[in-house]
Amino acid sequence: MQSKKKILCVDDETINLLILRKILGKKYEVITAKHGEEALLVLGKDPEIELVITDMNMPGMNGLEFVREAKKQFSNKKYFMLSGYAITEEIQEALDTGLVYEYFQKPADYKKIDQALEEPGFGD
Amino acid sequence: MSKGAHQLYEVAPEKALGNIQLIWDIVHQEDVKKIKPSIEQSAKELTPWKFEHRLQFPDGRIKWVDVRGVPVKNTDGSVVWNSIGLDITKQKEAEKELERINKNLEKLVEERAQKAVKLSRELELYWLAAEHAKSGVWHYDVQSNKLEWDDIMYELYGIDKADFSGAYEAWETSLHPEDKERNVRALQETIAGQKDLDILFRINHRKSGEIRHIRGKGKAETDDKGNTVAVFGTNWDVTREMNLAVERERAIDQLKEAQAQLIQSEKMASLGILTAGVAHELNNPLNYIVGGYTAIHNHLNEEELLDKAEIEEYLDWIKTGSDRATKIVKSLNLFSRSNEDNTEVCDIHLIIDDCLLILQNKFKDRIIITKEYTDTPAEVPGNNGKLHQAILNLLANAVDAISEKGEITIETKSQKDRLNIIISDNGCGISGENLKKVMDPFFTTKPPGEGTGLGLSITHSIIQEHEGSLTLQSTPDAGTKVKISLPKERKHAE
Repeated sequence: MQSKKKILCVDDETINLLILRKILGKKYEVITAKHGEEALLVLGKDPEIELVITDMNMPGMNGLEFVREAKKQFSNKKYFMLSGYAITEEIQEALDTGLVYEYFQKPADYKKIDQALEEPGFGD
Repeated sequence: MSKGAHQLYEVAPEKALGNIQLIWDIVHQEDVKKIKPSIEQSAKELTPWKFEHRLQFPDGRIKWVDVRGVPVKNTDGSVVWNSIGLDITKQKEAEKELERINKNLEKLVEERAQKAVKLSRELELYWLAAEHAKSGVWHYDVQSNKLEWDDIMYELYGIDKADFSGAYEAWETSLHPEDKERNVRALQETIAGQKDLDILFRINHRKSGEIRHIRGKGKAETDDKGNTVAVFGTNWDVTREMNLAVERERAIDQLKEAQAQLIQSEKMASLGILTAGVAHELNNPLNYIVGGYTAIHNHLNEEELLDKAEIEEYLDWIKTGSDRATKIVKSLNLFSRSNEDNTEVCDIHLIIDDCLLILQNKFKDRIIITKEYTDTPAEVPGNNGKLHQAILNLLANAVDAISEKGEITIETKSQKDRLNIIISDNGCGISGENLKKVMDPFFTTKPPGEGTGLGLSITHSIIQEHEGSLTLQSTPDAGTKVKISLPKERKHAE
C-alpha cells in the first residue's frame, strides 16, 4: 500500500486541528502547526509535505503572510486557506495570482475540501 | 401843620411851612412822579385828593402814609388843601405779609395740584398697566365673608357682575376640583398670618367654557390687635405661560425620544461595523459543531463497532462549539437589547469580557490585553445594554488607536461607594485641540463612513445617566487613558 500523502494544517485553535486531523486523517498523514513560524520550521524539516492548509487569523504572521513566505521557500506545494472570514480583496488577489490554490470558509464543508485536495496538481 | 404832621413827616411845622420843599424831599422818589399829576388834577377839578405813598427818610427808613385832602380855591386863584395824613406803615406791612402768604398759598396749591395731576397720571398708568396685564383686584372681608371684585376680576372668571353673589364661596366653587384643597389651605394660612398668599389654580372660565390658569397674590389686612380682618390682592391669567410650559415639556420629551433613538441607531451602527467580526467569531465554534458532526457521521459509516471514547471526543467539540456560539449570541443580545430599566445589576467584569469577545477579531494577535480586575464584586446598578454600549465604544476606541501592535490595560478598582474602570492604550493618542472636542456629537477623526462621531458623546451621556463621570487623558503618540467612575448606589434611580 502506497503511503499516505502528507498535509500540513496550520491553525491556532486546537479543536480545529483535532477536527482536521480526524477528518483528513483517513486519506492523509496530517501534520499540525499552531502558527506560521512553526509551520515554516515543519516545512523545512519535512520535504514530503505536499499540501498545506492554513487559517487566516493567527498570532504572529497571518495566513497570507505565511503562504507568501512558504511559497518563496517551498514552491512545489499546494496552499489552501480555511478561515472564518469572507473572502477579502487581499485573499481574492492571492487566489487570482495562484498563490492560494483554493479558499474554504468555516464552518468547513469537508466534502468540498476533500475534492479540492484530490485534484491533480503539479505535485503529482 | 399839626403836631401829628410833625410826627409823620419828622419836620418841624414852622420849618415846613416856610419851605414846603422839605416835605417833597422825603416823599419816595418813585411816588413823587405819580403824586404830582393827581395833585394837579385835584387842583384843576377841585375834587378831593387821596394818595397812598411812601416816605423815605435820610436814615433809610420807609413809612407808608395815606394822605387825603380837600382842595379850596383862594380868591387869588391859588389852591390849598385841607389835608390829613395817616401813618399806614403797619397796615401796609400787614398787607405785604398777607400778599406773601397768599403767594405761598398759591404756590402750595399749585404744587399740590401738580402733584395731584401727576398722581392721577400715575394712577391712570397703573390702571392701564393693570388692565393691559388683566390683573384683577379683589378684597375679601373675613368677618362678613364678603368678596369684592374689580371689573377685571369678572373678565378673568368670565362671570357677569350681576351673577356674582359676592360671597367667598363664589370663588371657591370656581376652582378646579383638583386645585381646590391646596389653594383654600393657602388662603387659610394667609388668614392665620403665616404667610403672604401666592397661589396658582385652574378655573373653568364661565363664558368660554375653557380651563384657564390663574395666578393669585395677596396680603392679610390686620386690626390693631393683629387679627386678620381681610385679605386683598390680585389675580391674573397665566394660561399662556402654563401652556408654553406644557409645550416646552413636550418638546423636551420629544428631544429625549430623539436622543434615545440616536443612541439606539449609533449602537446599531457600531454593531453593524462589528458584525463582520462577530460572524467570524461564530464561524469557529460552528466549525467545531460541523467538524464533530462530520467525524461522528464518518465513524458511523466506516466503523462496525462504536468507539465510545471517540464519539465522546466528537461530542465534546460540538458542546464546546455550541457553548461558545451561545455565549457570543448572548452577549450580542445584551448589546442590542433596548430597555429603560436603570436598576439592573450590571457586572462590569462580565460587560468588559463580552465587549472583548465582540472586539476579538479587531485586536486578536496584534494587541496584548492585560486585565487588572479588582477581587471584590464589580457590580453597579444600571442598564446592562447601555453600559455594554458605553464600554464597547471605549474599548473599540482603544483598539482603533493602535494601528499595528500595542497594549491595552483594563483596570477595575473598587472604592467605598464607587467603582472605577481605567482603560489605557499605548496607541496614537489625541491632540490637545481634539481632546476638547471628542465628546462633542458628530466629532470624528475617522474617514467618512467609518465612524458616526457619536460614540464618545453617547458614551458620555450614558455614563452621566448612570450618575458617573468620564475623563480622558491623552498624549499624542504615547496613548490615551480613559477613566470611568460609577456609583455603587444610585440616588435618582427610579
